[in-house]
Amino acid sequence: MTIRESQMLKGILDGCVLRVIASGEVYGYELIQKLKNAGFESVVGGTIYPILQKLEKNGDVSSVMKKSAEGPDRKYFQITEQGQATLQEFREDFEKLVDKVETIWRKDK
Amino acid sequence: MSDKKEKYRQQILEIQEKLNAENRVYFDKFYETMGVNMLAYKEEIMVETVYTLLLDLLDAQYGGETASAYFGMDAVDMAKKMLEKMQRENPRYMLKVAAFIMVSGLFWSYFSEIKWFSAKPYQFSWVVYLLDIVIYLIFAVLFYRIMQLLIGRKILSYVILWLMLCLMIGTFVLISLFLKDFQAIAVPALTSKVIGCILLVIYGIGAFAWYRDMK
Repeated sequence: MTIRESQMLKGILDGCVLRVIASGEVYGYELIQKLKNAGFESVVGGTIYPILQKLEKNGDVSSVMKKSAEGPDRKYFQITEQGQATLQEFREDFEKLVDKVETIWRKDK
Repeated sequence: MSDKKEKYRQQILEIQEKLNAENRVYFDKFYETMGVNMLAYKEEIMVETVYTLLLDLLDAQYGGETASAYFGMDAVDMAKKMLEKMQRENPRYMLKVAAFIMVSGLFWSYFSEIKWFSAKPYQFSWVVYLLDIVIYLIFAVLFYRIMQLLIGRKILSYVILWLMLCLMIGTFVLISLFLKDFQAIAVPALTSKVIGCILLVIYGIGAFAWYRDMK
């Protein structure tokens, strides 16, 4: 990941993590794989786990330890009602931001 | 929750055996860094976090990734990053631990000095008594901080801790040599023994209550 890309991702990644969790409960490794499959190939645990901690602390996600298909207990993350609202806000803010960037882009052309 | 904590601890021991050599070194350093900070954070949350990350690391290993690649940073930085947002231990709990250490120090330094088979009065300097406790606490905090700072540098930490231990014992000896009779208080032999027995009972009950409370 380039420095520019990582700087651009700051703030956006939280919303993306929330979006993945909103589509179904996941555990840490699974979440990272889903993000990688979605094109964020360079995301690492060192970035994602603290985001999960923050989202949980803020009340946007909750976690539950339960048996996984493979056997051992896993910590599954689920989106909360507050998290749904945060996700909605994120989506709106992101679209506004994209619009602004697009406007600047078109003006320059 | 305590049962869960023990269960996760046991599972950590079992799962870490499945790590390859490289990932094991990484995990050991990560676990050690978390462990050194155990007192300041909610222990059950910390153990659960370590367990969760270990399981994910094992998945990453099966997927052909190394721990460094999976977490994207070295073990100590990863642990510090996890600690940044981890729920801290209640200050009241920390205070209780400090109070227990303090009371234990006071009790044992009195109790160990009683001459049980002698009729001589029990003599002690309250100044030495208090100074010993203060030094004991200062060194305890310093030991803890050094352990935190020197994670992963075992030989250096052993050398420094050994030097500190010598320094602490030396300080106790010097205080005892020069201040032994300063502001000394003499307690009659029988009274000192009765006080010792009463304190032992109170300390025993208090320690048991403290242990149950902590659990």
